Amino acid sequence: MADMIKCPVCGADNPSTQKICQKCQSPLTGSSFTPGQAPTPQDTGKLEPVLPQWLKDARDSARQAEPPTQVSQPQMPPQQPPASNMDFLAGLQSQAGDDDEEDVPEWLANITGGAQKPSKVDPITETSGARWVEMGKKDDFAIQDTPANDTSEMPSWLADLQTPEPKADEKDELTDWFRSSSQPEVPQATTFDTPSSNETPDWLRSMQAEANASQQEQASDLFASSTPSSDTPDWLSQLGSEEQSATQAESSASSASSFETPDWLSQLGKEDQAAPQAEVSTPSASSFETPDWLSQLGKDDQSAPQAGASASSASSFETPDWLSQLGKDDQSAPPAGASASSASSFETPDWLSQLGKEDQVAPQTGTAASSADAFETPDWLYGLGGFEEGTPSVENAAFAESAAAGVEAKESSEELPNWLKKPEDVKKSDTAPAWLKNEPADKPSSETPAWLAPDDTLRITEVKGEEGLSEEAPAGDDVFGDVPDWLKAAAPTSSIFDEPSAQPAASDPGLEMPTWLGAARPVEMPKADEPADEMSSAFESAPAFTPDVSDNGNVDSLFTDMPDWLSNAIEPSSSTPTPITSGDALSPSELPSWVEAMRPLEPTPVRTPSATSDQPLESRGALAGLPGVLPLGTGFAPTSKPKAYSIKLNASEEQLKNAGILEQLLAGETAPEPLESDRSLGSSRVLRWVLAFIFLAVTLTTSILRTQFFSTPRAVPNEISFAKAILEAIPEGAPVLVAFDYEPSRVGEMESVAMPVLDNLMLLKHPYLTFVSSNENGSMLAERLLSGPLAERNYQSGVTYQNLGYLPGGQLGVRAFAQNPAESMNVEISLAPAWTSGPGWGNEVTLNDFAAILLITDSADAARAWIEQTQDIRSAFPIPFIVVSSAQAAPMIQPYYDSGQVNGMVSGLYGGAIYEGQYNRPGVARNYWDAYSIGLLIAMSFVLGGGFLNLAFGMRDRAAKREAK
Amino acid sequence: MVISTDLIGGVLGFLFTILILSYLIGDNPLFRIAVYLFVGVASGYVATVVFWQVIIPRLWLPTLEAVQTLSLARGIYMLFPWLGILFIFMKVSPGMSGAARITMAFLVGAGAAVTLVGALTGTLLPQIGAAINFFDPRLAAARNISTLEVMGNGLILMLGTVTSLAYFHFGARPKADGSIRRFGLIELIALVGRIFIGITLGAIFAGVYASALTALIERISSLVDFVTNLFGLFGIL
Amino acid sequence: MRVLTAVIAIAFGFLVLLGYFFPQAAIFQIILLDWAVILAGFAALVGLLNLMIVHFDKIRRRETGSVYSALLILSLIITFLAGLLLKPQHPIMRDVILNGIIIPVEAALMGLLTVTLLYAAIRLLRKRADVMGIFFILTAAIIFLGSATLPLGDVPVIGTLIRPWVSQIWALGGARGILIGVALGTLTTGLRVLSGMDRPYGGK
Repeated sequence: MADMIKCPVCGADNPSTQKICQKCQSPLTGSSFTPGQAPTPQDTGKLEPVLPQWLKDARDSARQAEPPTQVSQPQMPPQQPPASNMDFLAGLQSQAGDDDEEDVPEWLANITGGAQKPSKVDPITETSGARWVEMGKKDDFAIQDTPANDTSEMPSWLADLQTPEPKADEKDELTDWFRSSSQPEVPQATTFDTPSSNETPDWLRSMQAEANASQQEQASDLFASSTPSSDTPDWLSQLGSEEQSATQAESSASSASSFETPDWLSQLGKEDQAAPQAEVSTPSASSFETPDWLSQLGKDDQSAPQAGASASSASSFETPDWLSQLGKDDQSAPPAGASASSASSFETPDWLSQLGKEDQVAPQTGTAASSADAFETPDWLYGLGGFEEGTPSVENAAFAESAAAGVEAKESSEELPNWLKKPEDVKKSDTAPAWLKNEPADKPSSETPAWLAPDDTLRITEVKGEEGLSEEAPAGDDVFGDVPDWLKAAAPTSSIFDEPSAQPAASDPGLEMPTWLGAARPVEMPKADEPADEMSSAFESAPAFTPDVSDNGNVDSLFTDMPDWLSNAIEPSSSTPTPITSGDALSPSELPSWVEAMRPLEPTPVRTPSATSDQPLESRGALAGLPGVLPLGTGFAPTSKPKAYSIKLNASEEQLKNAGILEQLLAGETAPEPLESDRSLGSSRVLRWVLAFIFLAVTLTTSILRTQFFSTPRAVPNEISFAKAILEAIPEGAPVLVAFDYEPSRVGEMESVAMPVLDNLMLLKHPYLTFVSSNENGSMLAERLLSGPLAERNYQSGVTYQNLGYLPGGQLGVRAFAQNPAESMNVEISLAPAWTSGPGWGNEVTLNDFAAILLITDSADAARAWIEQTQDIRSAFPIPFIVVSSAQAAPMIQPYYDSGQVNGMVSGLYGGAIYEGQYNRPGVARNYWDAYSIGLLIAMSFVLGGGFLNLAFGMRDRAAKREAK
Repeated sequence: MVISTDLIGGVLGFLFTILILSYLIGDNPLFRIAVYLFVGVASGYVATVVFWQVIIPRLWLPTLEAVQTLSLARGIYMLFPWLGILFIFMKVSPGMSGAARITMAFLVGAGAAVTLVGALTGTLLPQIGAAINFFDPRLAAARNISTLEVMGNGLILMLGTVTSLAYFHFGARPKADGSIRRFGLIELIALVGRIFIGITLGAIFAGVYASALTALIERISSLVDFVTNLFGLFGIL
Repeated sequence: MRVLTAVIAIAFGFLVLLGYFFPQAAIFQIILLDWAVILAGFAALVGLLNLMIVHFDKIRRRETGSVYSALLILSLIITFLAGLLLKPQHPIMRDVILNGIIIPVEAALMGLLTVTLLYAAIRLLRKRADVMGIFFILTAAIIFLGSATLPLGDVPVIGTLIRPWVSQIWALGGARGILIGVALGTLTTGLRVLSGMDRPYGGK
């Protein structure tokens, strides 16, 4: 057994030789995640083949799964992030029913695709329509959308709570910032006695003061403002005060892992324990594993009086005062309609118990709040809880279920964030997970809070009743998927402390403050006897959240200018309740960028843990104390919070600018360019005709008259002199390689320049010519030249010359020929064997056997190919290289002559005429010269005269266009 | 009366030249007929040349020789070209058209190696060396160039070479105003390079024009010669 | 197939490359280049076959200008058959086909460029009046004038001094820059092909 490996997924023991779990087919070894490890971008498509079979099966089954039927939620706004319907406790709840039956957790059983109960999956799958955006179709991976709880994949809001663990020397930047923007201390009736109160952000204090101010405005909502300590964040202080006055305690959904959760949560737990409702029992957790705050939470819950009893905070030394105050507030929360009892059991964090309990007691009054105006709700709130625009569904009163006769009764539901809105029929539905039900009877039962129990969860329970409840997993974790961290932290407090039930529903539709903030408004405070004016002054000095939640304070400014909302919050006018108007409503588009940036855009999937008794207890996280919740395997489960990958394109300004430029370019490409009306079309045709007539007349006249009026060029360029000298230096009868590489179109020019060169060479030196051509027609043009103008030289194929024909392949062919001419071209065009006539070719013919290479070409590319591919050979054994080129190729061959790679060059009719003049043997060049010279002069005249005339016209036209513009 | 091929060629040449030059008036069916006929004839002629000067001597005859001599080495040697041709013909079949890429890959790979070394040893290094060596007085003296000319022209050459290269440097970054421009110094150098490029292209243009003018003169001269010969043939002139 | 073609291109490319630097490997280069020459020639034939197929399709679909396509195919087949029978260097082929059709048509088309090029040069500065265009026109005019002659000889100064200076110094500088740029581009392209980054033979 020493060689057994425990499966990190199902916990089954496997032989060490196994790489895959025999039970669940999960890999037994795998790379573990380390905290803070950045995920490496992976192409998941590449990972497809290595997926375990069970996962493939799961995906297959998910794809094949029928779309879940809509149970009780008739319509879902399309803009609503479906993921927000998930509850992070959903997995636990679904697991509860079969904890004792299966070793494999329910969520895992669902994933494996085998023998899963469709009723467990479908409704949840129905609500999870968000991930198909990034993962494929909506129906794809439906099973994977089933929320599961796993401390390794702790919801972000839990992790966020985890990170700001009060530390003496580690302060949150946001907190500092809030503190810096806060106002002087608010007079507070109560003080937190926790030593870590200096950690409280100012904005929490502001919220507290804000609540205080609102209390002044509403006689029915008297509150005893719990004065936070000097360093307590105002908003939390405010929350604390609100909690004190809350008629119903809701447990905070902002959970952290057990060790790292602040004590203020434990304080909450205490208060939750005080709630009388105990419908849902939570699993016990060993006390030694329960952090202080959880213990405190339990105590409070157990001992909390009905109202007014300010429990002394027993939070740990790390607990800030404001957190302690929260606990006190909870303790003093009136029990009216609120089941704030939370189990401080071994296995269940108290606040979780409290959550469940609150859900149980959620009243129906929230139904009235379901007439929500979606446009009044900020986006991030809107998308949290399955907000149904304009739908007075009972599910939207989610938050109201935990606030029996709470503030929601008087608040318009349009102000409610969706994650606060829950199906109202919670009394019927037991949304508490089974492991919560397994709480010992002596423990106060708790129920999942409404904001943790999503709409779909409640729907499921409505349909399936108790049986379904035990199986269905609330998908509430994703409720907070879109909530900023700081708001997540605040959210549970607001859910815990609900507003008085005396408030009529929808009595105040103008609320701008999110409902959960409104819910946090204290109804009953220990310091209720404080003078109202004192409260008002305290409120005025409150740095943040000054306007009362229920008074439609200046929340717009809160979300529009982040730094300003603090200052706005302390405006004196904000203490006065301002009726909300449609213009004040916080529209989704007004969401400030900083909130947008803080939003977790993607919900973090959670998994349902396994709760088998043989599994070890969880020691960390929100599920601390729960046995078998999480898979075993050290190093397997990631300890860091999974990153929420946004499907939204986050582009920087520069990227946006570049995208704009690209868009303009593309638009310019696709936009039809208006054709300029060519006014000069008629004149251009005339100009062409005039030009054609002139040239035809000149050439006809000079050809017919055979004039030789113009003198041939007399200045001899160096390249022609060198070419002449080299060719004259060739030994008598020496082999010369002639590459014929010109097109038939330039026969006139090339023959006029090549003929004097070849003629004089053949006449003077009688070389043995070897013709080769990298042009298809070159060999035939060589034959034409030899049989035409050079027929006088009486060169015979196979005797005084050999024509090797066409050498295909461009540079490939030239290189092949240069390497081994005889092997590369071994027959003539007549198919007679080559290299048999002429000089005594050796056994191996090389390029060095030629006395010179004469390239006759009209193409600079062909010249470059011959020069480049013979360069190394000619470097080792210098072979004269003469180029006879057309005028058009000469400028690009000139550098090779200048570099010495070409030893001589004769180009164009100009060069041919000069070469003829060198030997005083007029030929074709001379015959063409008059027409040529006149043509050049005409061209020069037209180019200069017409060109600059058009330049002037063009400038005039452009000036006219500029004026027109 | 035996009509010589010269005469037929002359007549055809005359007719086709007229048909093509009719384009000076404007596009017309005669011009198109001449062009399409020319394309067909030229293609057929090229096919003939390739057949007789490439396929037969390089592929067919060696294969025949290998078969006749039963030379295994020669047969294997010639097997590869036949395989390549087979792959090319597979392009006809939609299902096996990918096999043609094997042949093309071979040609491209070999061609890349050849052009790479050729460009390096045949153009890049010699031209860079020449740009430097232009200032060498010994080489200048060997080419009968004075020292003053060397310094002046060498500077121009160097300037033209460098600035022309810089002109083809198109790397740019977006500016603050959204425009995309090159680095300032590169932009300045490229401006000078534009001048040199303009001069070079002007020289090339003059050469192309001279070639075209020569071709026109040759055609007109051939027409005149043909008419002259034709009239002389009939004793008119 | 993509991997196979890339491997073939890279392997044969490096074999050819070795032939430049190691005399022992030159034999491989000769053999491979010989095969390449054969295949390149055959590829030209395939190209002509493709030309025929395209025009056959045009005829079959009775597209506009299919008569011209018919003329093209007819002339191609006749020429090819005649060439197969007579060989290209036969006097009939040379006089009728080469001297009678190919050279006149191509030369006449080239001659048409005279008017077109001149017209374009005249109109150039109307559309593009920048420093390059101006130097372009000036250079062309100088070379025109310098290449021409007068009845008594070269055009003074321009024909004897300025034109050679412009064409052999100024134009040479730009041409060298262009050539070096082309060589660099060729070098880069070759390296990309040999490293498999570029696959012009298909397969990405």
